[in-house]
Amino acid sequence: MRRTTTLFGVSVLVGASALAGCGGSRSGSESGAGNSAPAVAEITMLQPEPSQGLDPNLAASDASRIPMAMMYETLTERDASGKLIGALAEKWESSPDGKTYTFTLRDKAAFSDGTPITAEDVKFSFDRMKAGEVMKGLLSTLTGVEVVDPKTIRFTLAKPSSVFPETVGRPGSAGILSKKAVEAKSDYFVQPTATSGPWQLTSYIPKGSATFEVNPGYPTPPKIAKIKYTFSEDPAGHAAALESGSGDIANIGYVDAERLKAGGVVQVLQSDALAPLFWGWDRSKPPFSDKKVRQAIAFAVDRESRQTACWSGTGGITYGNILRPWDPNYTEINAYRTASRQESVAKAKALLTEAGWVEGAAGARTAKGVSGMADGAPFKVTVPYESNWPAAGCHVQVLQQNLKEIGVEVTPEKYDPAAYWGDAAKGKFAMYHGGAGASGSADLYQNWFHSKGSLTALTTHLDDKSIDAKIDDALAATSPEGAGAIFKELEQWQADELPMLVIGYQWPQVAVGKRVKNFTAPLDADSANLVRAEVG
Amino acid sequence: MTAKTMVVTTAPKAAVRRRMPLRTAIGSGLGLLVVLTVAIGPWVIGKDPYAIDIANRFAGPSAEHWLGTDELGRDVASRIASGARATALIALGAVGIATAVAIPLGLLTGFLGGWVDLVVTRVVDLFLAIPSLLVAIGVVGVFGASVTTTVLALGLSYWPFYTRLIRSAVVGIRSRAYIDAARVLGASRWRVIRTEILTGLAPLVLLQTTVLLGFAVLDEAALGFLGLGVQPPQASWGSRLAESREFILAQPELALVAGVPIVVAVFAVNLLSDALRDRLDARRIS
Amino acid sequence: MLRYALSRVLLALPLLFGLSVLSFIYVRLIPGDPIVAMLGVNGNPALVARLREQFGLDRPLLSQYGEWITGVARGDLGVSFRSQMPISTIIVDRIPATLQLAGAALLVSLLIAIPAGVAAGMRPGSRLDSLITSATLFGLAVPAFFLGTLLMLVFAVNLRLVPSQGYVPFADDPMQSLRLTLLPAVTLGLAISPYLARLTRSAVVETIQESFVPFAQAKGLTPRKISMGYVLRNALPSLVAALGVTVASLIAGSIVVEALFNWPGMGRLVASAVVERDYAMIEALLLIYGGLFITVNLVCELVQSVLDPRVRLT
Repeated sequence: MRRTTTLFGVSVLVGASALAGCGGSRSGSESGAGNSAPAVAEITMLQPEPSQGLDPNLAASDASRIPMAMMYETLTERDASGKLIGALAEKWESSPDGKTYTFTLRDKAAFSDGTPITAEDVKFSFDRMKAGEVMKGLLSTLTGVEVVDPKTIRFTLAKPSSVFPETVGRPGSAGILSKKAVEAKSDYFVQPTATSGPWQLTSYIPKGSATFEVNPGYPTPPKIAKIKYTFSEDPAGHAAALESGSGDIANIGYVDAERLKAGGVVQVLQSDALAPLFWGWDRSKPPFSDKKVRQAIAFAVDRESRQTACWSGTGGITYGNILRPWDPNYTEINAYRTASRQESVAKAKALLTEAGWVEGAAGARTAKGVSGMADGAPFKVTVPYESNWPAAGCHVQVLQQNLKEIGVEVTPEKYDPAAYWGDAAKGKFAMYHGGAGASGSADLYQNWFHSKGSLTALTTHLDDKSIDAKIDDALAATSPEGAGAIFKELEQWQADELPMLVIGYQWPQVAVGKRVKNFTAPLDADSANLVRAEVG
Repeated sequence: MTAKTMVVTTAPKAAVRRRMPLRTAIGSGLGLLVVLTVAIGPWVIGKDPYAIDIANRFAGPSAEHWLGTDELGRDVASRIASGARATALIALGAVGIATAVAIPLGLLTGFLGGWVDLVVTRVVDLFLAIPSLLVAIGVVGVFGASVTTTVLALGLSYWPFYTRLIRSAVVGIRSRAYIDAARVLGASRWRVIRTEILTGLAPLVLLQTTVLLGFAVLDEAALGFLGLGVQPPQASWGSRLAESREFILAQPELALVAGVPIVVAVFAVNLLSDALRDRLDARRIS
Repeated sequence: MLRYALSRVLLALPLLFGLSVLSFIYVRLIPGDPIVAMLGVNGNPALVARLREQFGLDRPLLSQYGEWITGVARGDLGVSFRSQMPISTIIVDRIPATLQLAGAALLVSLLIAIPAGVAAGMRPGSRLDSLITSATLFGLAVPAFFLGTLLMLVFAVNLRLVPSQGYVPFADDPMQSLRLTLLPAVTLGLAISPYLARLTRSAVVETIQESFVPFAQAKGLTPRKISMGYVLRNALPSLVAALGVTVASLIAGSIVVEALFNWPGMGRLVASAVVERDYAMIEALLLIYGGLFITVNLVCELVQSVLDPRVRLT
């Protein structure tokens, strides 16, 4: 790295040395341009702006859920090892038939304005969630929320569920809100006050930053008293901030993560998140209406190369599954794994030929007897991607290279993000690139595969009663084994039927400055790891 | 004998020219380098700028890859060379569009004056106040990212300012005494425009076109930085610089390799246009 | 004079109105939608439709415009889609940071450009002039974001002299605030100083050709005194007239520099409002920048008209 210093030093010397002189004298002997040691434990996080706002009923993106999880606490949460424990709830029990859950709230828990959190607030929050966009799918079987006493609340479900305690712990989205505070202001969620989470929002400057300060009423008060939450989305800028000490926690790029891990200047935490990268396609018309074509493409894509090229090898690869190996409902599927690249290409070519796409001049595939396509029509597809996502551009370029080998011509198309998903919903794209997150098997299959799922219209485009029924059964299964068996079937079905080419995942690479101690890799959008952290 | 007279006659000329030519020479040299890159660069390097080689990404310079490889293992030198063509095309096209709109409009408003001038000038001001970023996003949104779109986006953001410039130049020329004289002598409007104003404008247009070329190269880079540049895998200098920024901390040399051609090309254009300006100024004064 | 100024202001009003109509229609006609931009992959069509209705985006353009323009007339710029905060609050919040960066950048560029411009202009054609002119031509060739990235890499990441990004209000922690201002201000200052230096140079060259300079020289004043006292003072009006160019390049430069250094100024609002299709925000910013642009040009024209009374006739 020293070599680079000289290289750059020379190139900017002419213009900047005089000015840097005055800067240098001001910062003087102070080494490391960090924060000027504040009296309270304060850190700076660099995070994307909560672009969907702070209303848990509307905001589903991680950018919103991460700050929401800092402000709104849920009934349950996961500890460092991933085990489900009580958060605002001290304990819970279910009836033998699995259709009734009773939660007892912690005595001490209070909103940031000092008022205690009561069962009334929990009821209010769940009634609200059930009507809202984000949770209504996951809470579809919830029929009644009943206040037993100020600290006890009972949930009644139409069907038994073993995953209910997990559902009520969905970070940010299932947060408990103050009934009094929310009802008092029609524009409450612009700058929410009296919140239940470990921190409270004390300032919010759009396109600037937010400030979080500790909630004194939180049962286990966090050690970091103040968090400056700067809105930023430039991974290279984040790495620079971490290295120069002007930031403490930030997501960074994959190449920088590799470098910083080796350098040891900052800690780099990587979490195996269920954040699938997928190819969506229009199955209503050729070429992708044919399952054989979809499978051919699934064989033709070089999963490892893509992950190396676009994610520096992080993120994990899959040859059929969508779920991650840590998921209790995971059973390994290797439908598209072959011994070599040549074999994959050969299989893909054979499938294309079977589907009526024959090899023509210079290896290009053309239609011959494909219904809905004129004979001789070349296999050409334009694949759009969001222009503000560099890795997406990388994926489509690698796809272009991969499919060229089987005679399919891909034209990458950089697309305006403000129109992208709207046009995807309108069915404008034959094949397109996407990425989204899920917290686990239940969340994923409910929201991506169920006809009522919040992401179905943009991911799988499914509207299949039998799949809906399967998902409902899985969510209602009384035993983990029962649920696991159904999820296994669903995983097999999707690998075969719509190899959606979830061929990789994006794993957040979180860089953490050396002065932050005890911070563990985030499992989901929750802030529990931040609560346990301290500044040393 | 002839040699002697030569020395005598050329010496004073050389003295007058000597100060400028160093800058002009540097400008011409750098400009020639850029022109050569555009013209024969891809052919000299002889590598496919689109060939992905993932096992070989971020390789340093070697005999095989003169400037190393990029994040997808493509040959950087050939991407810079083929990017030079795209960038040159964009710059020339954008300036062409701006000039084609600005000259007629500037002539119209500057020569006719009156309410035509007032109305058109206000409309031009209106467009002048719209940020070019907004224009670019609209154009890219409607037509998709490509070289043609970038040409259009830049051309559309240059014409208002160029039109104003031409207009004030026309007003300046029109107010000169010899134009009045020509009109008094019975020359038609069209004749006056053709003979007096257009010839008077020519140096300015020549100069302004050169200056704008430099701007266009810079703005193409800025559009790339904002994700609005050409469509990958096509390379342009701006998109190359934008792509390399993602890896600026780990692979700073890639960003340097991408940035230096832009700086060199614009510097050359600036030096040459400055020399041109000096020469025109000198002619005007004499 | 007053009549001239008044007529210019009256001409500016329809221009602003035209700008509002044009921008209103334009931002709604270009592809993309604020709700789609906001929800991304979470934007299922039913939700998008519901929110479009909630925000009144499904109503006819004319009625949307009518509502907006009556609000503007009452001084209400509307509400930002994204944050749901009043736009006036958001913009007022950003004024200190914007001015701090613009002021510091202007200071940096004046410190570079005025001495350089005067030195070059006093002896046009000299070796020094040639050197300075070449330097400005080189400076004009370096993209601001490239320069900023390089400065950040060298002075923040490698030398650790200054923080790489961030903002602290001056009132909260003056020292840290200044340290944070340094890199963005130097970047922006360096980016605009070539323009300013060239303007200064040509203003000085013109002034020098006027008769009082030889007179001062004849009086025996030192070149230094001449340059500072006489020439600069006489060149000042044309420098003020060049204010427009400076303000325009400050605005253009700030969009890039603020994004690079996470500076919460107006420039970042422009870029993100356009990307997010935050309609009301784009319109408000266009009006503000348009107003600023017109005011600056008006000032320039007035100064010019003082210098050269013939200007009023056109």
